[in-house]
Amino acid sequence: MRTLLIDDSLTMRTIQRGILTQLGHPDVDEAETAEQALALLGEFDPDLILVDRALPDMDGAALVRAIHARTPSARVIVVAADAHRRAVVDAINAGATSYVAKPFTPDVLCQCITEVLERSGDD
Amino acid sequence: MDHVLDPIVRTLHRVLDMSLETCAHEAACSHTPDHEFVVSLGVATPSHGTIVATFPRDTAYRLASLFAGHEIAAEDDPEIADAVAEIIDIAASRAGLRDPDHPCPLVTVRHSLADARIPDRCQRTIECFCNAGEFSLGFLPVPQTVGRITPASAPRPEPRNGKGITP
Repeated sequence: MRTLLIDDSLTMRTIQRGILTQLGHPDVDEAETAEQALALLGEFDPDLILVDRALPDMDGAALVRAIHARTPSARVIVVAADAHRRAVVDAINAGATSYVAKPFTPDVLCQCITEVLERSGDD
Repeated sequence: MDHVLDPIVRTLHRVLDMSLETCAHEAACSHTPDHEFVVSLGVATPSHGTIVATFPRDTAYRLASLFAGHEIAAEDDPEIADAVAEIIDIAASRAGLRDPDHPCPLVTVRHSLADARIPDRCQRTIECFCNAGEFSLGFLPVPQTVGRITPASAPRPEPRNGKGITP
């Protein structure tokens, strides 16, 4: 499984990469802007994408829509500091499969990724 | 992380309450701590402006290590600044304060960037403590440039082939 991490924070990408590696999914690439991420999509063809909702160059929901248009089969988990209901609804409406609020423990992200992948297998 | 975040969230509210008072009444200038790490974050509620958080190196280092879940090298300014900015971003979001037009915090380190002098222009500053040590929060009633940048002393990794980033 290939995973793309999109976050402007190096710390967050490092945490996420560590958790994915622990879960047995070490094939990870990273982007720190929406522009980098969209450029990478065709080349890397990820199965799972973790998207920071507050990127410097594009709103998270808009990026999820752009990702969904390019790679509809990829599962998208939105990671955001604000766990307000509206933010969750925006992300899901944009095409995200799930949503995780920061700060998260490794267990929470592990569970979310596992659930999303299981759901993916059911499709 | 809640035991670290909660005092910051509470203090954010105190700073903004105070900033509203100082808009209405002339406020006495407070002492500005000479802290090394500075995070500026645009906020929209209840008053449009900039939250300025400053951290001495020890506090920033401990916060960053707590957040990252591993011991960060004490001299790794970019990683420390990045983690501290993330914490302030989360705290401001939790407090419901973040400006949607300026979602990313500006991170500066006093020795490397002129923008680190922003705290000097805060109307008033609250000095406070969390489990990681002392820090301060102030409020500027005007928007500042925000967006994550890295100290000049140790640049971030270059994008690989102009696209993805090698870890």
